[in-house]
Amino acid sequence: MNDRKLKELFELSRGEQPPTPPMGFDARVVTALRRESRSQAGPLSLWEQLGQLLPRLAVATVMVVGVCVAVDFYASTDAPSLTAGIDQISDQWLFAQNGN
Amino acid sequence: MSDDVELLDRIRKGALDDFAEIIQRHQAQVFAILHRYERDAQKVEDLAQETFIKAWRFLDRFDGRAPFQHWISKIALRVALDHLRRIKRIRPEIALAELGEEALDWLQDPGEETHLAAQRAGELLGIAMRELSAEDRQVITLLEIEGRSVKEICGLTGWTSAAVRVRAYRARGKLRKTLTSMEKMKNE
Repeated sequence: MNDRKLKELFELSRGEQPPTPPMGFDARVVTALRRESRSQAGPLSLWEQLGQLLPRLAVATVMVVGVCVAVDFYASTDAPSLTAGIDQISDQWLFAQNGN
Repeated sequence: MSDDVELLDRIRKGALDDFAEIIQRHQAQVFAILHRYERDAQKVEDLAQETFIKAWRFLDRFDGRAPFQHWISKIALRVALDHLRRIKRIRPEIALAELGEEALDWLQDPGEETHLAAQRAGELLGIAMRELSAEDRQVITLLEIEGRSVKEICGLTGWTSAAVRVRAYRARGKLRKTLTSMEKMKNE
């Protein structure tokens, strides 16, 4: 490889066309930047975190209460009442204590 | 461009959407620079994105004394240099198949009869330059392919003119040696 040939190679490669930027490239970069700036925002305070969590907690609480009421309703249809059940358990415990 | 400054002021104040305008104005130039260091179009796009993201992150450091075009070129060159250093670690051996018949014929022709298309020449040079260090490749690209002056290269890279000249001289020697060994590949 002589100098002339090397120079020719440089000159030839100078004529190569670079790729054209794809459509929407600018929008993609801006979207990436927006995502980055959002993730760079400072950490949330305790109140902000609670504020975000509260609606979910409220829904979860309502659901748990609803499930408990439903379970109690269906369980109490063919079972003895709660006070009768407690009486029975305490009697068994007392008799067991006395050795009967 | 003079109105880059106004636009950049607005971006600094939080108008992120205006950055799209800056990208549109300078994307062709950034793609052209990066294409000299990476031939895969998808990777060029990723590097261009990295360039603009870095520009946005360090926008406060742009003082407006030099044109924005010059500043973004410096960032693109920095991104290209980092990319070359990364790929240097996983550089594959030069294979005969990747050179192609046209390039091999041109290499072996001592005269001027064989024609080589610009794209093939770019590919051939890209393969040969894999043997150079990232810095050597950058100096050859800036000096010989982009046709920039030593002074301009000093401004873009931060190297001294003596360093640019010495590096270019050594890089040219290494490149000549690599191309000579590629010339002989077909006969082996």
